[in-house]
Amino acid sequence: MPTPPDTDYLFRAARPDDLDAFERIAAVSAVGITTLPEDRAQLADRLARSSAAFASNDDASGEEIHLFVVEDGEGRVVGTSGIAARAGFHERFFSYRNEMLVHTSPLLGTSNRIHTLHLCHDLTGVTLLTSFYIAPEHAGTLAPQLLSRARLLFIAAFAERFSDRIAAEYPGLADDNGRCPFWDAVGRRFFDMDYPQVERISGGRHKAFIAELLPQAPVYVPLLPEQAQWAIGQLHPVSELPFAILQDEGFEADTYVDVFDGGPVAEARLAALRTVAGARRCAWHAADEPAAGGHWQLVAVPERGDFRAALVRGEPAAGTLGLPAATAQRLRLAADTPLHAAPLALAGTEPEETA
Amino acid sequence: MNPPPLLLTEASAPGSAQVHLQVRAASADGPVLAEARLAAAIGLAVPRFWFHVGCTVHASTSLGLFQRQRTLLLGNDHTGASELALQGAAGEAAALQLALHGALLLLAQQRARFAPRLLAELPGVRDAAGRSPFWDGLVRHFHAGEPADAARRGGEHWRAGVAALLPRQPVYTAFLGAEVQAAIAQVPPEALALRELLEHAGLRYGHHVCIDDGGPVLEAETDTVPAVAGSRQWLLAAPDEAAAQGTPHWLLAGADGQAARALRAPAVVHADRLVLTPASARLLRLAAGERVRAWPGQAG
Repeated sequence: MPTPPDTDYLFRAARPDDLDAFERIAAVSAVGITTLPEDRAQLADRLARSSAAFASNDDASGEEIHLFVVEDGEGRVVGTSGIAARAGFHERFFSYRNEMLVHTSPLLGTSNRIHTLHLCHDLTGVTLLTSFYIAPEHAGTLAPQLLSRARLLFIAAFAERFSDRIAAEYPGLADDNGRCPFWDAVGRRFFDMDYPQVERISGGRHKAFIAELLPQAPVYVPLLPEQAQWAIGQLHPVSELPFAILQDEGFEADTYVDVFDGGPVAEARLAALRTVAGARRCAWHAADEPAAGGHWQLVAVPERGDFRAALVRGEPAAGTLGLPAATAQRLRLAADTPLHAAPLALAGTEPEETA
Repeated sequence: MNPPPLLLTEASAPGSAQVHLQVRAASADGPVLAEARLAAAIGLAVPRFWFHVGCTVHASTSLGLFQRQRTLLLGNDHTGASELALQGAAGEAAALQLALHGALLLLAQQRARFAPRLLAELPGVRDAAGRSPFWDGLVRHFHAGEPADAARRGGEHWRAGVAALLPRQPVYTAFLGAEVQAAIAQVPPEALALRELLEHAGLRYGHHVCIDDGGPVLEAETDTVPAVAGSRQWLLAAPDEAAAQGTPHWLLAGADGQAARALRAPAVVHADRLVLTPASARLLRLAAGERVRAWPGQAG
């Protein structure tokens, strides 16, 4: 099936009637998105909670989840993404923090750098990016860019409901049979279970239970088998695309890793992200389809209960952005609908690039 | 003819804080068969380090999990204790025993000089090639080198130099290889006799091991050690071959005077004085009216 033009994709808040699409996606994304349960009832509950969060006029409590989808030009859901307002709301949020210690022995005239992993709750209260999935046939388009980054415009537009610190957990190295070198060297010594078994029970509320049973003392990395040492902070290939998008945004993954599989945790200050830093309010006016080759722009309608976004070529000038009729229609714009627009910060492009 | 008795003599360096005792055959100025060194209080100038072998329980009723985890925690727990170090030639069990008991009697005799706690470090296990699995599986990850190199570079206090490189936080032994875990607090076969001897003398493993090879540290409260608690001073009666001959052996040590001397020999109490054979008195260099510290030994 040929992919649609990149301008055809629409990013929008997920709705309860997206349940079939979410169920399909949860079933095919066995590795990588542990935040989407495979159980239909649980998924329906997630969607209901998400809808409630979008609609709520109460002050944010921190337990909100927001789910989004990207649909193609035909209105078919081809990807999902999400935001959890605050990590550690329901249960303690565990991470390993990388630390370097230098031990010196004046007597022996030597010193030694030692890599240690410290169990911590540093990311408690941080806003988490979750649930990213793009159908493989759309992975080569700009749809995943829209799917991941439009979330950031949403967070920036309603910043009082989120943390100014954003993080995303990514799966660590594991083979096709689920053998995970980091788990085998660390967690398995405390729970005699294979990693897939742990993932299954950790999908629910058990993740913190398990993490609570990990050693409270730092893990001295030199004591781990080489394979496990190497796996620390290494990304599972399945998540290369979403991880790369966040890296392009300015996320860094040097400090924290997942306590179970050693996968990287990307984190950043919201204001420093390229999409957020580049976002501007603007009006719009009707314009012809711009010539190919112009810079891509993320355009969002910043309505909390009905957030939607798309990609166009062009740049706002004098506070107004020219939009082709098809885009205006897709975004359901009235003549005076205010927009947020941000340059799409693709790899290799400069954030402040001007023509 | 019985073999010549063993005699313990003091060989402490002049001015040294450490007592050095040697055991030889009494009849000749032969080779040293066993040695004991006794330090009054250790780790006060340069810190001494040991690993405390602890236990942490990881339990979860909801996951049906209950696991005991061993941990190693670096520390200076025995700072200020007295230390006994024993060495003996292979097969010289009696000499080793005399070195041990002689040291304990000397300690009892000069009790105020020594600490409330007494310890003895034992060697850790080695493989056929003489390598320590504890060093190779734990220490080497923090100090890339051989113990011998560290000793050469660090001198007398080289273990403190190694300790400076070791983990300061508890190490879960689950992270160590099976051969390392198996080596913790174990001694090699050739040190089993020494371990038994020390245990019989009242020292026990108290969950501390040496930092370089994981060998056990045996310890005791000084005043509860039988040779300390059960020995006392006697005035010597005139030596009497007939009276003392064939009676049970006591451990005997010169109570006063300059250099310590000790041996195991027959003795008998008569009129609240201790009677030795003339030969024993001669070896101890004691005469009637002088004091001797004596211990009849342990039951069994």
